[in-house]
Amino acid sequence: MDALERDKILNARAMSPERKLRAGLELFELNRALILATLKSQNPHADAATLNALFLQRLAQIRQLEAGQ
Amino acid sequence: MNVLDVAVEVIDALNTLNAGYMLVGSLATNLYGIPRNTNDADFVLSPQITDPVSVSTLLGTAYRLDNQMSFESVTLTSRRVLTHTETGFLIEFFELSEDPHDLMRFSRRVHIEFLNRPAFVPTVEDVIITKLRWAVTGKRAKDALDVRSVLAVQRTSDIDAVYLRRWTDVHGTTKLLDQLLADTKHV
Repeated sequence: MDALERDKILNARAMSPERKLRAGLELFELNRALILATLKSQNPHADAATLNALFLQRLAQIRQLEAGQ
Repeated sequence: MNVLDVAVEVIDALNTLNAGYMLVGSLATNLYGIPRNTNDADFVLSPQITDPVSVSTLLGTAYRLDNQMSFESVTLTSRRVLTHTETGFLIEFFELSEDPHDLMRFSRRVHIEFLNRPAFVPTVEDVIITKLRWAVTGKRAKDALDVRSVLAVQRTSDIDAVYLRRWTDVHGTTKLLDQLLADTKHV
């Protein structure tokens, strides 16, 4: 076990249950923002609805990959 | 709207319906281990008390309930999927099965405060037992990693070892439990 993992464990011990529950959802939001920003750069003229549709397609692909693991 | 709002709406709907429910899956694992990203929120529902259609109706048109029921592969529990259409976030409802550990896990659920509202979750022992079963039966590596994360974060004194081993013996997962305990004992 390396120092980075040990730090993650000690940080998790210091977090309240509510904070930890929120963290998983906030990470989803961070991923969503990163994917949308990438899609925007790849499709600079797409409107918000189109970008959201592309995001939903990308999310479905990610879920398929995860289910196959 | 973000997925935190979505989770709050769903929990509020379940509480409004006085549903027998508990939050399971990766969000429940996050409570006891190192938080990681999740693409969905999984709930177990007691079919005697409520059903996914009632929850979906209460939540309204921002959500879409899939018509088709599917089955989880370890305990053959039925599953209905609700999608929040704007964010793509999935809410999966698993029907409480007759599986002995499923029933025990549900009866031992505890409530936590989440943004000033109660939310029902499994105990740490039941999260470990379920994830070990998935890791061995479902052959999913990420479930073993989740158990490792929980064992590393929790102190031994926080876990009822007798209860834990009783079920891992039943499920044939004690060997994996011991491997993961040995791997995390120095934290």
